[in-house]
Amino acid sequence: MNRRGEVGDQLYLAYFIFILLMITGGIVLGSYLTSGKDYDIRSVDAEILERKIVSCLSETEELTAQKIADLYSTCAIQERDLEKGLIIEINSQTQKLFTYGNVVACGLADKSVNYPRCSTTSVQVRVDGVLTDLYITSGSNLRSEGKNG
Amino acid sequence: MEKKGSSLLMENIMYLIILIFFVSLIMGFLWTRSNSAALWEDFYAKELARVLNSAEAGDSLRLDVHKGTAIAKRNGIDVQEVNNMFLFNAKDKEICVTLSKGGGRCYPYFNNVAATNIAIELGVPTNFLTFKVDGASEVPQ
Repeated sequence: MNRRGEVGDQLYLAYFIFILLMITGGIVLGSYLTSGKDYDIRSVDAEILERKIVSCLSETEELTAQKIADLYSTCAIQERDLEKGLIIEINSQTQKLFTYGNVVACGLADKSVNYPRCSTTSVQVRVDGVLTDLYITSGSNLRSEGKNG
Repeated sequence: MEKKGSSLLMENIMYLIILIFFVSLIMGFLWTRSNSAALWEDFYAKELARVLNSAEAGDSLRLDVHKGTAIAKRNGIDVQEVNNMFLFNAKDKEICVTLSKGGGRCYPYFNNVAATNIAIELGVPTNFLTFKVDGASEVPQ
C-alpha cells in the first residue's frame, strides 16, 4: 500500500518538474523569438557608400577612366576604411574600371548572414568625353566589435 | 500520525524549493534579457555610425539617447561625462558605446568627417546626445 503511494508521489513530482520545464522553456523561447536578431545596417552602409560614389563621379569634371581607377584620390575614399569590410566595383559595359574586395560574395548574400550586403546601381556620365553607363556595386560586411577587441 | 505529517511537510518543502529554483532561474534570465546593455551598445554604435556616414561637414545633430543613458546609469556608469558612454574616435573612424562596466561595442564609419563639441543634455525632458560634424582634416588628430 505504501509502495503504491510512493510511486504516485514520484509521478506527481516528475509531472510537476515537467510542467515547470515547459513554462521555463516557453518563456526562454518567447523571449528569443520576440527579441530578434542582431541589428544589421550593412545594407544601409552599402547604399550610403554607393550614393557617395555616384555623387562623386557625377560631380567630377572631365571624368576619365584613369580618374575612376584612382578612386581613392578622385572621391576622397581611404583604402584603410575599405579594409574594414567594404566592397566597391565600378564597371563600364566594356571594362572593369575599379575593384576593391570580393564582389562575388555579394551574390551569396541570401545564402548566409556572414556574406556581405550589397547594392548595385548604374549612372550615366561622360568618361573620356564619351557618354558611358557605369555600373556601381558597393557592399558592406562591417561588424561591430567589443571595445577591447 | 506524526510521521505522516512530517513526511507531508518535507514533501511540500521539496516542491517549494524546486519552485523557487525555477522561478529564480526565470527571473534571472528575464533580468539579463531586459538589461541587455550589449544589445543597446551595438544598436547605438551602429546608428551613430550610420548618422556620421550620411552627415556632411557643418551639420549639427541632436539624438535621443534616453534608453542608453538609463541602462548606463543602472549599470553604474557616470552619465554626466559623455566620453564614458559615447566615444568618437576620429583617428580610427570608429564609434564606441559603453553602457555597462567592462562592456562596450565599437562600429566603424567611412565618411571623411569627425564629431566635435560632443555633449550630453540630461533631462530636457529626455536625454540627448549633441555634436557637430566637421571635415576629418579640420579636426586635430
